[in-house]
This record gives sequence, C-alpha cells and structure tokens, in this order.
Amino acid sequence: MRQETINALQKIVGENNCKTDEAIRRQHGYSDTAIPDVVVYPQNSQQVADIVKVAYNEGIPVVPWGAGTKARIGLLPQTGGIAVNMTGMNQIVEYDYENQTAYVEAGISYKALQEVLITHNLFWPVEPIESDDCTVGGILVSNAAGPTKLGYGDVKHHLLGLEMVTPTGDIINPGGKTVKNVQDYDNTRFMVGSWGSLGIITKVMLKLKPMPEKETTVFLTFNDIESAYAAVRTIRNETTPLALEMMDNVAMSVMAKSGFNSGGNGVGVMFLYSGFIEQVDVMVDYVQKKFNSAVVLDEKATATAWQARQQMFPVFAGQRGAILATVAVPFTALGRFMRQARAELDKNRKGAAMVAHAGNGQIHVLLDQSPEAYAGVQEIVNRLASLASDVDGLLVVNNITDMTLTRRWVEGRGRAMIDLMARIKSGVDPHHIMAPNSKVLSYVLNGTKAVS
Amino acid sequence: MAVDYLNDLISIVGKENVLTSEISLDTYKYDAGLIYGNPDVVVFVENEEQIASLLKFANSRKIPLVPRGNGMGLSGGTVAQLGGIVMVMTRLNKILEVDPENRVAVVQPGVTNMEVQKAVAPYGLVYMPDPASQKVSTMGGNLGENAGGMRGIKYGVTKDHIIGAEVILTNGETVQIGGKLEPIAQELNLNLLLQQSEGTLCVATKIYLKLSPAPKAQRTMLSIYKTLEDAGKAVSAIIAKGIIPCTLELMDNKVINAVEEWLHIGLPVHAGAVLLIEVDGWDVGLDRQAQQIVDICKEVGALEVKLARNEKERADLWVARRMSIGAMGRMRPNYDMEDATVPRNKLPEIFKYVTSLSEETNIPIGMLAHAGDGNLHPLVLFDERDEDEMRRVQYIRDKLFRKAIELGGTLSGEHGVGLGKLEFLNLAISKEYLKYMRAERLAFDPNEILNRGKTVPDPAA
Ligand SMILES: Cc1cc2nc3c(=O)[nH]c(=O)nc-3n(C[C@H](O)[C@H](O)[C@H](O)COP(=O)(O)OP(=O)(O)OC[C@H]3O[C@@H](n4cnc5c(N)ncnc54)[C@H](O)[C@@H]3O)c2cc1C
Repeated sequence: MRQETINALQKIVGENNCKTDEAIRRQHGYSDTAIPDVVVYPQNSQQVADIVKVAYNEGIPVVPWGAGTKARIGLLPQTGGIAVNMTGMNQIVEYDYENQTAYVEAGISYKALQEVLITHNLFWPVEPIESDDCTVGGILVSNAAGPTKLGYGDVKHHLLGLEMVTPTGDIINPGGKTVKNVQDYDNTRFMVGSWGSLGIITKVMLKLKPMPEKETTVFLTFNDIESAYAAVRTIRNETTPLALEMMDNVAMSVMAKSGFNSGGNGVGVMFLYSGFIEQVDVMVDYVQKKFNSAVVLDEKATATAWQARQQMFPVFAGQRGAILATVAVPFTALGRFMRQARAELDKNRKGAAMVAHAGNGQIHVLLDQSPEAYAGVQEIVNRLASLASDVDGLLVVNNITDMTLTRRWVEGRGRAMIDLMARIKSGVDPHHIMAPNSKVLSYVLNGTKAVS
Repeated sequence: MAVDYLNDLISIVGKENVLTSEISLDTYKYDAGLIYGNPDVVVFVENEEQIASLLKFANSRKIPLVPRGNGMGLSGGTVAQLGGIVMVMTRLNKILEVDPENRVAVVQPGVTNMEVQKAVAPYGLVYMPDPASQKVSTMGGNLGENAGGMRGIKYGVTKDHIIGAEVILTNGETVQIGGKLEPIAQELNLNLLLQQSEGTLCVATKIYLKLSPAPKAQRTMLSIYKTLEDAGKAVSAIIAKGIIPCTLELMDNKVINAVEEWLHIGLPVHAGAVLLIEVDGWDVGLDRQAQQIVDICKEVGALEVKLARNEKERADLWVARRMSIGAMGRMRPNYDMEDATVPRNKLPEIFKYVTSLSEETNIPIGMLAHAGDGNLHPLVLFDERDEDEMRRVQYIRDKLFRKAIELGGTLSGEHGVGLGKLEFLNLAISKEYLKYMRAERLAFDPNEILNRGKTVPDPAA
C-alpha cells in the first residue's frame, strides 16, 4: 500500500488508531501470509465513511472487523487492503427501555450490551454461539444465532434499523425505530448474513424483549438417534420449546469434557421452556408424564449444560482444529439424516460429532481434522452432502476455503442467480472494494484479487 | 393510448386474456386508495411460462408493467400511472402444498390470505399475518407490501413468515430465493430484500410460507378510556410491564360510534377511545395475564375494563374491530386511510396532534391504530368532489407525515410507498440511501419495467 494512502488513513483516525505493525495485522489476518496492510480503528461513523472513501477512490479492499471470532467462517484469505476494526465504536447511543429499543454502535460487545439492557429487565434475544466478546455488528453480518432461534427467531427478527457506510462512502439509514416500517427496501434485514460485502454497519437499532418470568431446561438421554428423534418430534409438535437440541453420543462426550454429565450414556436431547410461570410448568409436566426419564435440570446444571453446549466447537477442536459442516434438512427428515450420517461416520470418522438445533432441522457436523487438511475428509463430507440432498437438504462446510458445495447450491437456484448476485454487488459496490474476500459473494465475482 | 403490441400479447396469453375495452381499463385504473391511472392494456396470466414471456417482451420494449394481485393496496402500488400493461395474477390461485409437520405451505401468488388460513387450520396451524383485508388480498400482494395484521405485536408481520419464493426476473429467467430450509448457505439472503419491495424487483410465482401452531386459548378484553390520549398512554404502560399481548388495537370515539350505529354491538359510545386487547398461548396462566393487564389499564386511567366472558362476546369485539373501516366508510362519500408509525410512547402526542388537525381543518378524522406497533391509521373523511375539502385533506396528510417523522416514526407501517407517499419520501430517505436502493432495484430490473416510477423513484425523472 502506498505511503500516501496510509497517511490519509492516519489523518482520518489519528496516528494511534492506524496500525501497520505486523503483530496487529496478523491479528486481523486469515493465515500467516494473508494479512492486511493496515488496521484502522475508527471512533465514529464519519471516520468509517472517510476511510471507505479513500479505499473507494484508490480501489483498495476494505474488510470490516468485529471481534474476529468468525473470520474463518465468513472470509477467505486475502493479502493486503485495509482492516477496519470496529471495536472502538462501542457505545450505547440510546437505550429507550420504554419502547424496548436500543441504538448501539456496531462494535459494542455482546456481553457489554446485555449487561446494560438487563438493568431494565430487557434483553436482546439473540444468542450467538461464539464468545461474549463478539460484537453486535459481527453477529448481524454473520447471522449468528444459537439454540433459542427456534422460539425467538434469528438475528433478523430483532433488528429495526441501521446506520451503515456504503461501499461508496455514504452514510445511510435503513429501517428506523418503529416495529413496523415499510418506507424502504428492507436493507436492515438484508445485511444479515452479508458478511461485510454490502457495506459497513456502524450503528444498529435493536428490538428488545422483556425477560421471561421463568425458564426451565429439561434433559433426556436415549440409546440411539432414532428414539431421541422420536422424542424430539413429540416435544416440538406437542409443546412450544424455546430451544430444542440433540447431541449424538460423541457430542455428549464433548459436553462431559466441559463438565456436563447427563448421568446416562448415549444420545442427548436438551430443551428449554421459557415464558409465564404457569405455561412453563404445564409444559414441563407434560413432558415429564410422556418421558419418565426426563431430568429437570437445577440452576447449576442448567448453566453448565448450556455452557457446555456453547463450548462444543472450541472444546472439540482443541489444539488440533476441526472442520465444521452445517446441514439443513426438513424437520421430518432430521432423524433419518442423522442416523444415516452417524452410520457413515462410524465407518471411518468415529471421532466426528453431531449436534443439532433439532427443532430447526439444522445439524452441525464436527470433523476431527484441521481445516488446512480438508482433503482428508472431503470424501466423507461429499457422502454426507449426498445424504442431505437425498432428503432435499443441504450441507455446507463452514470453515474452509473450498466453496464448491455452496456454489453448486446457489447455481441450483437458477442459471440467472450468479449473474443477479454479481449485479447487486456491482450496483452497490462498483469498485468491488467492500470485503471482496467475503465468502457470500466470492464465487460470484471475478477480478477482485486483493491489491497490496 | 393506442397500443401497437397487442398481437404480441395475444400470442403469449391468448386473445381472451388481453383486455382493452374502456370499461376494462377503467376497472383496473385504481387500487383501494385514491390514485388513478389508466393502463393501456390489462393482461390475465395463467402460468409461469406466460409470465416469463410477458416480462421478457415488456423488457425488450421497455414497456412499464404492473403486477397486480387483488388491487387492495392503499398506496397506488397497482396503479398504472404511466400506462403500459397491468398483469393480473389472480388466476395463479392454487395452494401447491401444505406440509404440516414441517410447518410450511407453498402457494401461488394469487391465493388470498384467507384461503391460506382455511387450508392450514385443519392441521391446527395458522399463517400468522392476518391483514384486515385478508378475505380479498393475495399472498403476492401481502409479500409486495409486507402486510401487517392484528397480531403483529407478538407474532410479527408478513416478512417474518415468508421464507422463500420462486420469482421471475424481467429477463424472463426463474430463480429460487430462500426456501424451506434454514438459510445456512454462504449466499446473500435475497428473500429478505424481496419482502416489501412492492413489485419493483421481480414477480413472485410461488411463495413459501412459515406456519405456526395455533395458540391454544385466548382472553380478550376491551379497555375503555375517557380520552384518546389516555388510551395512547396505556399502550406503552402495558408493554412496559413485560406482557406482550397478541393484539393491542385502538379505536377512537368516532370509530366506535360509526360501528355501533351500524352493527349495534353495545360498544361504549361515550368513550374517548377503547383498546381491544388479547393475550394467547396455553390456557393455563392466561387468566393471570389478563388480570395483570386489567390492573395496569385501571392503574393508568381506564374507566372500565371488560373481559369477554364467552365466545360470543369475544366475537363481537372482533367484529367491531374488523368492520370499523367499513363503518367509517359509510359516513362520508370518501375516506382516506392514512398510515404512519411512531415509537409507541409517542402515541399520545400524535393522537393529540391529529385531533388538533381535525379541528383546525374542520375535517372529521377517526382514529384506528395497531397501537401496540405504534402504527396509526387515521381515517380522514371527505368528499372527493369538493376541491376545497381536498386541499384541506392534503394539508392534513402533509402535516401528519411530517409530525410522524419528527417523532421518530416513519411514513408507512404497512401500506407502502408506491405512488402515495412519493411526495414525502425525501423526509424519510436521504438521497444517498435512495441511490443505494436504486442500485439494488436496477440490479434486478435494469430497464425499470416493473412498477416504474414508484417506491424508489429515479430522482432525475
Ligand atoms: C379495507 C382494507 C383493509 C386493509 N387492511 C390492511 C391491514 O390490516 N394490514 C395491511 O398491511 N394492509 C391492509 N390493507 C392494504 C392491502 O390489503 C394490502 O396491502 C394487501 O397486501 C394487498 O394485497 P393485494 O393482493 O390486493 O395486492 P395488490 O394491491 O394487487 O398489490 C400490492 C403490491 O404488490 C405487488 N404485487 C402483487 N402481486 C405480486 C407478485 N406476485 N409479485 C410481485 N409483486 C406483486 C403489486 O405490484 C403492488 O405493488 C387493507 C386494505 C383495505 C382496502
């Protein structure tokens, strides 16, 4: 990168907030070699806009960066360009508890946010599986969600508006503050899962919820996937759980490593009821009558169990690293898929674990292989992918750089699809500078190689 | 305007499906609002092939084309203000699939909201959005406008319940957007952009709906206030207690009286306003929730709170709410149902303001509101033939939308921008944001044939 460009960036954010030392660049990189040329820490939206304008004029890639917890999942390695670290923008601009909204800067951490919200008995009902450091902006663009998305919905359901910087350096305000609003295209939600490719989110208007009166977690253990899935069906179809998770026996042993012992061996089903006291109680009674082995977890066990669930991937991955694949199938095919997939894994990947947001028909397959060595599991991944497609489902691999399966899926949407996506990207980002290494559009674009 | 391409249209859909008589064009010149514009030709389509061919043709000739459901929109979304083709979608009216355990239905766009409700009810399921127009409005139109309903406060609106669509682009190509599965692929989620795009991006030919288990029980009540402002204040007080009812609707004195005069339900005709409140869920515990609401309502100034004691009383309250627009319509030759939003706790202020506008202009305005959503529908009553009245109505609209924006609200909660709100758009949307949205629009529809000149207009035009 030219020194003049770096000078221009320094002028915008100040010398202290513009870093070129290698250690910091590495923290914002994807591998030992693929690192940005410079990392900037803007303190307000105008600075973000000015940074993007510089990049726009010079055709330099800009990659917004939150806590970096998901970079591997959403971004491809890229050498050079500007990393825009948003964590300096971490203020709550307005907490309007009467209207149950909060307007926050995108770099605020999840934990810091919830700590403030709870002071008025409200919370943001999004529950990323990542660590507490992850930022609101990062959660939004990565569409991060956890088990409670079954009942609460995912990130898009808890947003009302945005302030964002477009790839041409304009500051715009999609959405607003009211829960109903049809005066624009719904760009607020469209940014969910966009991985920075359409602009940099600088502020977010969050829709909040009152804390529930009561929450109860129930745990069931079964000998096999089939009987666990039968229970899952009963629970989902006859009650209204907020979360409904299923862990195969390997996944259960991972939870045991984090300190959660279900007391039984086998396949676990963990579910959560939330809401008004009587309604929670009546549902818990109901499942206890249906399943006399149901264990209602006490406060301590509940915390341990959900913590262990949350830590599943990092604990499984350990030092070695792991490959994460995600599968979506119709709910009715979940049991069949998991059974067949487990049989397949037992043949030559006994160490792989499966854990499902069962109520949503979504399964994570954790493969004991480092992402760099994807070739070693490619064959089994392909077999699982075809099992998924046999039941009209889909498998994607999250933390590798090979986009073949995704591209095939998107092409299956219609031959005009890739072209349509490319036109959207080029329309809003004519110089293709905004997170050009973002996976969501990587297979769509040509000639967007990083400039250094 | 004489049309030189009739034969092209006839070769696509057949002679019987191409209408050009004066009476046909007149019939399709308006929606449910007050904006008119004659199309040059009305075309009925029956299947995807015809739609694709028609779009391709219109695109090649850059002829404006308006996809039309049942024309119940209220912002001119189906008005052909530039002439061209109105494409009527109502013959695509099949429910293609109800998949009860996966809780998905797949429908053609011309199916009405009510037909969906009827098809899924036997499985103990509901499609949550229930606009007041549900007997007539189509799923294509609901998607186009992101229609709301009476239980949006708890269950959300159309965009929370449409999970995908098969759409045809103006180049005639079909693509699948979203679908039955959780959106796990690393791709832009175009389904989110499609919602509320008012038929300016593409034409939906199949729509994937998320279904929900029907709530098992309800408690319904009517909370009665001395003034409209008092009712407005109660709204945020209720929500602040942490109880999210499924319905929180407001009717003011004018609306109450219009309904009562017509239907004789026994509504409190001296009340300044009432709130229709419903809680739902599992039966157990609902009595306590209802009682909590009763207590809060009384605490913040309700004169009286009546709990429906049986199904008949409950049905009566709902009839009152559902018939209120029609009842108001009987009062004067015309009514305009306005649509704006404010943050919930600003309701009292905007109510007061609307009352003062009514007094200032001597134009009667009834107030209906999806109050829990901060979405107000002032019903402005007038006679279209009286020019002076029309000027005053325009004055009211202008003041109302400015006030809504000033209070942190928006130009529309559910009826859309279309043509009706274009003149106010610059109050809410910056030119930079308009530029961004135009880029999106043109990526889908480079020649701007779909609903040209609406929603996200070319600032240079
Ligand atoms: C008495 C009354 C009560 C109402 N109550 C409510 C209410 O409670 N909540 C609410 O939200 N609205 C309400 N409305 C407004 C209106 O009913 C809704 O906007 C409804 O969704 C329109 O449906 P429609 O089939 O009539 O669509 P149309 O008016 O025919 O079309 C609406 C828009 O969608 C586009 N469109 C239609 N089909 C397609 C398609 N297949 N693909 C792409 N674009 C398409 C059109 O081009 C147009 O821009 C009410 C209207 C009336 C008259």
